[in-house]
Amino acid sequence: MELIERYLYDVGRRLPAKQRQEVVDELRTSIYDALEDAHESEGISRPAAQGFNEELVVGELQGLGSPQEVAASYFPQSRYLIGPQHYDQFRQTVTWVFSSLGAVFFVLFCITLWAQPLEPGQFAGRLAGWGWELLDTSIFVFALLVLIFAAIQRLEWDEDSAPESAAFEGKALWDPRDLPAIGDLEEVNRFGAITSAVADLVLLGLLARLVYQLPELIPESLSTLASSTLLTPLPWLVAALGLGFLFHLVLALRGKWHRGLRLAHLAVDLVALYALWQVVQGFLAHSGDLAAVGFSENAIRVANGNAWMVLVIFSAILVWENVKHLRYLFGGAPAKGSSVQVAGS
Amino acid sequence: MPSSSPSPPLPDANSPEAKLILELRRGCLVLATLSQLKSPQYGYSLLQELAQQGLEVEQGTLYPLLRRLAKQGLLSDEWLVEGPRPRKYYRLNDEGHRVLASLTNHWQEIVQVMEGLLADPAGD
Repeated sequence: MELIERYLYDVGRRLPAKQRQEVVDELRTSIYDALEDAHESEGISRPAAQGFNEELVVGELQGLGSPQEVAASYFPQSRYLIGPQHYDQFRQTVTWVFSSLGAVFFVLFCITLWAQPLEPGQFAGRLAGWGWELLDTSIFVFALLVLIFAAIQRLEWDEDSAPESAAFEGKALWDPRDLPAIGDLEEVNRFGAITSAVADLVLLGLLARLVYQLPELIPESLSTLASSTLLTPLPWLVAALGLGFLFHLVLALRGKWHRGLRLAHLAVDLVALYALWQVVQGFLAHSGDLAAVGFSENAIRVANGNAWMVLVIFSAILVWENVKHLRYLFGGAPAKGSSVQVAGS
Repeated sequence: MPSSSPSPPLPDANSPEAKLILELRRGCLVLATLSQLKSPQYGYSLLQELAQQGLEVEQGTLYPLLRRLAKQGLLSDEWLVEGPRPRKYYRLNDEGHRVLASLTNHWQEIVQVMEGLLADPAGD
């Protein structure tokens, strides 16, 4: 029945791929068993060709708990900073806050450009200043959001909310008919892929323009720093962005993840990480040159720290993005068929 | 199996009393589950078995518990096709039997102590 499958899909998409199939299969069996019993005890006849009575299905799924609750019950909560029951809200909040933050920074940047026209050679410095400011603020805001949600999770996690206690607690009422339609977990978010391809292309264009205009934008005293930070790693930066563009294009065209695309995703990210590593190393090698344009020793130390931080954050994002692909490549869902036996055989 | 006498109704779920009752009952759930897995049971049959004995457990509680006990090495599990759909059967393994015996001993000691404490007129 469609409602049950939608429910199982919603539970399954919140579970790690490795245990998803088995948990969903077990839940499905249990729901069907319970519904058959419910039909018998209610005296509702159900010809084999017909589905279950919708009211009984709704009641059964409500009794089982919302998909968030059921998925969360499979996780010992203390292991996770933000568990499945809060993860959706966390993602929404992060998206909303960062969109707002980006918009506010963009508007403020435009206002300062308008209010304080730039002298030649100042643009790169101003842009870099705003970039660091945005980065610092983003890190702080993200850390704050994580802390808030982790605190909410911990505050809710008292003895009474342990999974075993749910046996005796009432479930919050929710309507299974509001569950989302079944999607394909392998399906590619085409809009996201095309957006990423466009972003890669735009960044390539900006990079080309930056390289072309570098002598006008950067004072002579910073030419070595600019060269080691931008020109030496340029082939890797172009490779990373070009491969990223091609990858996202193919991803959007294929529309479904498969093994080759997952490997390609990993490879493109590794090229991008190496390119960034070269940029950071180039910057660190000559960051002392910033003293020539008025940076204090302390400010240079902070800039070096920020460069490392960018590398660490990018690496963390890369790991985060690729964990699910690595799971598919090397873990995979358990092969249910291999463990199924026929009774009596 | 005949049903035991029904549990007294729970007070308001948010009251301190209800929380204490929850804690008390939660402590019994693992032992109750292990005690019914000397022979193979699938999740729903175990739910019914426990309910018949007077312990109502919800599916969303029992299934994660079964997975946890299996992961802890106390239960063995296998999928069997019996009837219209495959079912995952659980049963105690050797370690599970040993732990059940140990928990049962501790339980009996606790019950004995508690009966003494609750019957002690000095506690009035």
